[in-house]
Formats: sequence, C-alpha cells, structure tokens
Amino acid sequence: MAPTANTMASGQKAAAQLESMFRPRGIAIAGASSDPTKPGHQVLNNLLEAGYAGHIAAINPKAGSVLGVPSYPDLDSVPGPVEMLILAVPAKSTPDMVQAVQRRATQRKDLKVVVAIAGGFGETGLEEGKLLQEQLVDGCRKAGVRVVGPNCVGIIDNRHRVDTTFLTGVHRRAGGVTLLSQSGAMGAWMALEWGAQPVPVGLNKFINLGNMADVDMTEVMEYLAKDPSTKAVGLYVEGNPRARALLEAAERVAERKPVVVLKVGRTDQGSDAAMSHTGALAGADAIYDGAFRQYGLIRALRVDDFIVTLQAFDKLPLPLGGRVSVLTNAGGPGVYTLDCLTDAGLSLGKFSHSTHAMLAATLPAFASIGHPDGHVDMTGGVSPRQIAQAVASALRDPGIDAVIHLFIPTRFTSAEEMAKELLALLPGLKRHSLDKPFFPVLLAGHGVEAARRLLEENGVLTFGSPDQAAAALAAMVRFGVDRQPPAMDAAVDGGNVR
Amino acid sequence: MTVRDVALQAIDQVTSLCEQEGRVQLTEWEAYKVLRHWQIPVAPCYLAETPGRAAEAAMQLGGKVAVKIVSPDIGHKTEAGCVKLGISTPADAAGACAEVLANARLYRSGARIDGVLVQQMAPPGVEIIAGGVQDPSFGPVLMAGLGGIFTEVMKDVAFRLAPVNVTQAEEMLRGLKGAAMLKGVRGKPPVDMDALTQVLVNISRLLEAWPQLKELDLNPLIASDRGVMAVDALVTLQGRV
Repeated sequence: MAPTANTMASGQKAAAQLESMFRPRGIAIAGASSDPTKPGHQVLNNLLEAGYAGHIAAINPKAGSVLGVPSYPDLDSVPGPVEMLILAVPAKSTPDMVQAVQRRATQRKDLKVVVAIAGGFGETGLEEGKLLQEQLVDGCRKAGVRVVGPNCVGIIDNRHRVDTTFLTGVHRRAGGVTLLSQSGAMGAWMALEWGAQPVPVGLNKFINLGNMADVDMTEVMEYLAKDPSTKAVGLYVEGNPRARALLEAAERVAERKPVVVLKVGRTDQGSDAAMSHTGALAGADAIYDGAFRQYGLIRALRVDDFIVTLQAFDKLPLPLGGRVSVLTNAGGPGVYTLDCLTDAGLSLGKFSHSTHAMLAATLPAFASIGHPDGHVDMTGGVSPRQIAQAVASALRDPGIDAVIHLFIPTRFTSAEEMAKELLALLPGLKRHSLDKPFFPVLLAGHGVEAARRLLEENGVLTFGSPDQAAAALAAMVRFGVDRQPPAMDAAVDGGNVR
Repeated sequence: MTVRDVALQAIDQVTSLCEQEGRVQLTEWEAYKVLRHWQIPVAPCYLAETPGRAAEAAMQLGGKVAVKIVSPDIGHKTEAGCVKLGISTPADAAGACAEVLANARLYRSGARIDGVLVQQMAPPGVEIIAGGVQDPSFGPVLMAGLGGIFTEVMKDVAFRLAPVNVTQAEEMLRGLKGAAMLKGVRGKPPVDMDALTQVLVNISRLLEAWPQLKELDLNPLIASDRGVMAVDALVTLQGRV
C-alpha cells in the first residue's frame, strides 16, 4: 500500500517519538531505590555509570535522594523536562502510573516515551496481565506517549549515554552497530559477547522491546534505516507473527546498510497438518531463510560469527570483490583456512607477476608462493618484518580484494614484534589509498592476547579464528555483490498477469 | 474486464464452490482451470465422462497419455488405483478409463465422479516441485525446488515471500543444491530458464491473489529445453475455522 499524506505525517511523528527512546531530554525512574536487590536501583546505577548528561530524577515517595540523585514523591512533582519515564515498578501499579503519565502529558507536555521494564503483563498469558498491558498501552497512547515493553530489557544508546537496562558488563564505547533483539536474554548474551575482543569495539545501540505492546521491531527498524549513526544492524529474531512486516523493514535498511540476522529454531520440522509436499516442507525456518536471502539480509548461524561479522562491517572497508589472499606462517592452519573459505563460498585470487616477484624477494627461500594461487606459506622461519612486507605486497596487488593473515607465534617469531611491524607498514598502505579489508588471525588464546590488543589499540581489528574471519569476509563480499546495480528486469514487478 | 479480473474471478468461483460443497480440496481439473488463467502451463488434457470420450481425447492428444480420476471425493488418486500412466492407444485409453471409474467406485461407493482426465504424458525433462502456502506470519510464500528423489531425500527446495520478480525467481533456482541439473547434465539440453522463472513469478502472483488458499503443490512440473508444464496439481483451501 502506498503511503498517504496522513500516514507519512504520522510516520514522521512516530520517528520523532522514537528519537526520545535514544536521545531523551530528561529521564525519570519510577521505583528508583537505594536497595540493590531492586531493579529500580540497578537501572539508576546503570544510567549513572553510562554517564547520561541530561537531567535524571528518581521517583520514590520514601527517599530524599537515591544514589545521589534527587528523588521526588511522584511524577507530577519532577521538574521538567522529562521525555522518558522508566517504569521499574511492579505491574500492579500500572493504573496509578498511567494516570500520572496522562496528567504529566496534559500539564507539562514533555513526556514522550515510557520504558516499562517489569514483567507480569501479556507474556503471562493470564487475563489480569493482558488487561494491565492493555491499560498501560491504551492509557499512554491516549496521552500521546509511546511505550517500550512491558517486560523488556530496554535500551542502551552509547552515543547519548542512555541505559535503561539492568545488564552488567556491557561495553560503553559508542560505535556504528545497533543490536535489535527480540529476546532479552539473547540480547544480553550478544551485548556481552560484543565486548569480547581484546579491545572492545564500540556499540551504537542495544534495543530489546519485550512484549512489543506498542513500539515494535518493525517501527524501530524503520527508524534505524534513517538513523545516520547506525552503520550496520544486528537483528535477533525468533517466531514472530509480524515477521513479514519486520523483514520488509529490514530490507529497507539492507538497501544501504548491512543487516546481519541470527535466528534460532533452525532445526524445526514442517507442519504435521500439511496436506502436500509443499506444505510439509514449509517449516517456519525454511521460510525465514528464504526471506533473508530474498531481502539481502545476512544470516549468521553462530553468535560469535554474528558479532564478529558486525564488527568487521563497522571497522573494515568493504571489499571490492571476492578475490582473497591467505598468508600464513603455518602450513596446517593455512589449509584449514582454505577449507573455511570454501565453506563460506569464497575463493582465492591470483597474484600479479610483480607481487609474486616481490614475495619471492622478501620471503625465505623455502616459502611456498602461489600454491594454490593467492596462498602463501611463509613457513615458520619467517621474520616479523618479512611477514609485514609480504602482507603489504599482497594488499597492494590490484588482483586481490582482501587479505587474511594467519599467524602462530614461535620462539623465533614473537607475536608482539609481528604486530609492531604490521603497524609500521599499515598506515602507509592506507595513505596510498589501498583501503582493503585486512583480517589478521592470531592463533591463539592468551598467548597472542597482548599482540591483538596492540593491533586493536591502533585501530586494526583482529580475529580469533580463521572460521570467524572467513564468515565475516564472506558476508562483506555478499553485501557488496548484492548492492551492484540491479539487472533491468529487477524493476519490473507489476503484479499483473500478462 | 481485464485479464487479471478474469483470473481473479476463476479463483473466486472455485473457492465459492468448494465452500458451498464443504470441501477443502480442488479436483485436478478445477486446479488446472485456475492455473491456466494465471499463465501456469499444464500438460494438454481433456475431461472425459465415458470410455468412448477418453478414446477420442487420447486420439486428439496423440502420443502417450495418462488417465486419472476426477472426483471431489477422492483425494489420493494413486492409492485408490485411479491413475494409469503411459497409455499408448485410444483403445487402451478407453480401457483405462473404464478401469479407473470402476476402481473409484470400489474405493469409495457413492463418490461424486466428474469423469477422467486424459492428459498428454509430458516430454522428458527435469522434475521440478513448485507451489506455495499461506503462512500465518508471512502470508503468501512461494516454494520451488528439484522434484522427485531430490525432494524426498535431499529436501532441495527454496522459499521466497510472494510475489517475486524474475530476478528473484532466478536467484532462488540458482541457490538450489542441485541447480546444475537445470543446466543439462549427461548430454541433456539445458532447461528453458526464462520459461521456468516466469512460471515461478506467475505462481507467486497466484498465491498473492488467493488468501483462502492453504497449499498449492505442483509436483511435478516438468521443465525441459522446450518449456515447462505441470502434470499434477494439488490445491488445498483453508476451509472454515
């Protein structure tokens, strides 16, 4: 359906309201408490830890201040502006809260969004819970206030230092990737996994909408399509009755920005009630998978691949093609990496004659260059400087779009020395505008932690396994290929029988 | 009335008839009538009420034919002994017709019988399974894959949200594990991909236009260098909940 002037206007208004989810002017927390066992305590604590710069108010009739934040007996007495109200109070207090929201919206006209954290609503399946959820949403919507949740983890926006969650250990540096999770716990896992790199990559936003009684993932996805600070979106989905609308919105994001999707339930079977072969094969996951491909959404099968792929999209330039070079100081892991590349649908490029000659001049005499094409076994005797020079040669080759560099330290070849040599050469490569994605894979664990940290502190993303590097690179290549100019007939879709 | 209006009317008519009669499955003949309106090719066929008519139909069609019962009360035609394949002569077609009619009455006495379908045996080609479902979360969903043993064992099928365009249909087929089958293996000519992708586009438009549908199963659709045609069709409606 084509958008009418009316829906366009309400869409713009909705977008302005969603802006307050991430960039509220003033936040009040109902249920803020000095008792650390209360969610209202942890949420306020997180908001303070995040360093939110705006006005924060606690609402607690029994306290003068909570965690050093001034406390007020009710929402009415909180000085403005308060664009966001976090409800960290039990579901049963909903009727009172809704009245307070309505009064505030009529009198002060500043409140835009309510984040309702508590459970005990529609998700219980009980009539009482459903009724409370209805009261919450209807009451707030009547007052022109949007509701996030209820029963949600909530929102983190690292750029605007907002955190409505009670998560712990989430990295607070701002970056380009926004995580949108249908599940609170999967979202928490992802948010924590996000910080797993030796030097954690920044995160733009974390969003979990819980019961989605009002603001839903589709609407947020529409917002993210237009959010200039979001460079890539990580989406976690599970069974969702509004899946089509959500994925259509994700497609609009994916036209410009990478969307990486994780979905559980891959092993489900077709419906038992099916009448035909087609019906029996049409399991929910098979349809999701088809829709992901159709809409250019990149599916990750593992949480670590999901995270690393998103971080690569944020930190690395897109490859211009799929011609890969692998340089390794270890034979077996090199072959392992070639297997990973093949599994990921990638293939090796071919060195030019001059690159081949440069590599031969740089590397030890027994190095194996171009067997197969694009692959170099530098051997265990290679020095840190030789490694860096070989990597630079491969990156400069116009027939190579991306370089995976595999490294295992030995007593002769220190990981930190190698990292320093790479850092000495890499900025020079960038100045020559050879801005290609480079995947240093340092094996493995604590033994290379310091070297990875050194590289990452200097802006070079590192990888913990060839599998992850291959998964991330394959996603980047596919994203680039999908966005080449469409064939002529792609625009023809009249919907008429001819 | 536009071509699309007529095609939509074909859907409405058969959907209403099934509702009136309280059944959820279309006969093969009814299904074919809808498919033709949506430019989904079907192997040439006639509906014959008597063995004599079946012989005439076989003569008209020429070559080998199949004879299948057409009855709103018999869903599993093969199980009922109501499908005869590879019939060479009009006389054999008449015999097959009589046999199928008799088997139908044995299988289910009192079954309403519209006649038998006398259908040209499709030329050899790659067996494709195509169709779709109305999914509660996604609405109309198109399915296509390699039929026969590939469907049974490998589940080599792909799904897309309907409607699709030609590019999407092509990409869907290219992604199949056995996509090489379509390019011609063991000296066989490649399948007419333009025809096949257009049929998938047309199926997807039919799915989009038929919200009362539950499942559409064209199994198989025979694809060769000379085009594509359905030789069986199973259409199930959702029925009243």
